[in-house]
Amino acid sequence: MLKYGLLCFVISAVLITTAFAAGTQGESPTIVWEKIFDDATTKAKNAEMPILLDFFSPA
Amino acid sequence: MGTVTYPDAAVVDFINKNFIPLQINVQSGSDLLGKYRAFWTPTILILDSQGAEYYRFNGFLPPDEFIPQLQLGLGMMSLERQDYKTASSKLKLVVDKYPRSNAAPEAQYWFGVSEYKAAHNVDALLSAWRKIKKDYPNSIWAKKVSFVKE
Repeated sequence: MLKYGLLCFVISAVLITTAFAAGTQGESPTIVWEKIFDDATTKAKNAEMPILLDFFSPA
Repeated sequence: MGTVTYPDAAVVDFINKNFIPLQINVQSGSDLLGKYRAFWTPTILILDSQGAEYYRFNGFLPPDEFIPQLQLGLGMMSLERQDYKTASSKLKLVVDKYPRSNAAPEAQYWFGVSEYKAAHNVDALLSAWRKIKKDYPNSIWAKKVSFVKE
């Protein structure tokens, strides 16, 4: 009974892991843009990094 | 920029490693437009963590020009801050890694300036500028150093 339960757990874990991997396979890194100036300056201070500010016009 | 340059993997990697990226929609009415005198899009600025501007440029650039332009901007930021060692390193990287980019001859010019200001080394300055004349003879930067003797 215990062996059966353990086998079910292992199979479930494998299936879940495979499904997750398949779901994220096509994803590539993207730029996560800050939208609020003060948030960007706070993060920049904490990270000791400069800010890249892009003024854009939406398509 | 949003459809060609920003999705590019190398651009994503460069921005994520070197900046905190901030995007402002010019239609939002943000007072930042007036503060940073943004009258056209895209306007790209490099700021320090307190919002002081160190570099800017306008207009679309494809990935192979955008990255060296940002690298040049980082070098200029260090130069203006009088961190000449960092400036020289960042500016030299533009020329070494992106030699065919439009940013390269400008980077070479400022590399020479950085080397001079670091140690008042005139020979280093002239050597750097001679390289512009040799490698980028048709650039405006070659015209800027046209008075340098071979």
